[in-house]
Amino acid sequence: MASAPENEKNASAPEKKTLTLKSMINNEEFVVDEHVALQSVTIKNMVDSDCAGDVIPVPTISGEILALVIEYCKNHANPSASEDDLKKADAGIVAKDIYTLIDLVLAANFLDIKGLLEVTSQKIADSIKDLPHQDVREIFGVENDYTPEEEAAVRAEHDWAFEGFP
Amino acid sequence: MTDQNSTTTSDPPSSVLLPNLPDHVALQCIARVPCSHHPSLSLVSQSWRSTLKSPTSTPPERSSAAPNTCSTSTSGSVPPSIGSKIYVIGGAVNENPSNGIWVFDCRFNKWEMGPNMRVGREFAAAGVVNGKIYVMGGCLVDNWARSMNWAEIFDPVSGSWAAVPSPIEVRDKWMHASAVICGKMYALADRGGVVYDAVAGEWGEVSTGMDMGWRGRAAVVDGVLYCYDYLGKIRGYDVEEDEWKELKGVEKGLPKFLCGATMVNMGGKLCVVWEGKKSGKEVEIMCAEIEVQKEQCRGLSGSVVWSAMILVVPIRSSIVHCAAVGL
Repeated sequence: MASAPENEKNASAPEKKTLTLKSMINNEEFVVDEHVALQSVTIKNMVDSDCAGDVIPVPTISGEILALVIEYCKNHANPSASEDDLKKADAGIVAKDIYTLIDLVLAANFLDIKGLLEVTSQKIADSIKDLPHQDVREIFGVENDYTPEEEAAVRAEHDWAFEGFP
Repeated sequence: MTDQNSTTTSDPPSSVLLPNLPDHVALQCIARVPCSHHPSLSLVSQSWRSTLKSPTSTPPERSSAAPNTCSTSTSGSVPPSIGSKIYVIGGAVNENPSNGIWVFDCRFNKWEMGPNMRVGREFAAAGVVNGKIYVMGGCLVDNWARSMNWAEIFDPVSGSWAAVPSPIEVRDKWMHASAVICGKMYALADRGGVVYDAVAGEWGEVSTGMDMGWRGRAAVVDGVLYCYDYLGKIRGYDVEEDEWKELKGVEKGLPKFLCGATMVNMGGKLCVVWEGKKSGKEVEIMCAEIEVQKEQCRGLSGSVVWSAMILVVPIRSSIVHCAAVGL
């Protein structure tokens, strides 16, 4: 894990190449060191197959979210960062409201950045777990397809869990 | 499940789980919710319910090493496993027998508290028959409640405990070992032991032959109970023949003394886990997978499929139990 960014750094040596990522939602542009951006498998594939021009357009991801993604990649491309530092930095990046987290997890998925996908999914899971099921439905737009009878049956099935069990 | 490689689309397939996320991303999130929260979340929708119940809801990560952070430290607990979960039942907490159970879900590397037993136990016997956990002994039977609940059954689906009626003469206190063979649960006590036929609901005594040869932590493969005899051999016991036989053919592939040897049936193979080389501050945990066969007249034969170091642990650690889980 820790050696990956170093390898990529060596690969791009000696000159420091940069890439420009452009959010197609609000046309914000970010200039990023190539080895930082290449943590995205999607971008790496584009670069490897020479599909990447001077500016890489990133559809469906806003500048605000792209900035978070780049922050994550920068942290993880720093070979001198300890695991502890990275954990703290990751926690800071995902300390957002649930709607931002949903955008972030979609971005991590689209750009194919495994680590970011994992920490964001974990944070979403942590947020979901303490929510009443009605709120989960509302936030994620899940349709309640239970009849009242079915819902009562599921509730009864897990009665023990609703009796103040932690 | 879904096509996870198509990351080029700007219009991800809508998920029935979380409509604003693609299915595999939604699963990543839902799979990370601790199982104690599953009941309330299964009320979100029918697809949530089936996802949370389904053993195939793919894990975000596989556990490769043994769990190391149970929230309490217990001794004399027993750990049967069902599917991807290991149930750590009872055991002494601050020298008091606990009625708590801890559930470790190997898919998510998470410990959760389960519903309490009706009585506290340490050094009880536990086994799984038809997806239900049977627990017996490990408690004094000095009052009515403890006598009635000397044996209990846990249904992991409903999450509830119930008493299993037992005759008074079988109610021993400490149990040293237990195993399930062909739907019957065998538990060894100080002298002799009990066998409970979970299907017929009948109790009986363990034969002297079985009792004499049974040493500690055993595993059942293909109806044969295997254990390490502490003299350098693995022996197998066939209930029908009431006889212990040496497992032949494994001498070359295994060290003579398997310190702390524990066995488990892993997918029909006999897996032996033992404490190997100690160096400085660490102990190597070794594992061998053995294919075993019952041979007519000639006894039991085995061949070592592989044998390797699988883990390095700090020097003070020892193998307490071994459980096989499905991921």
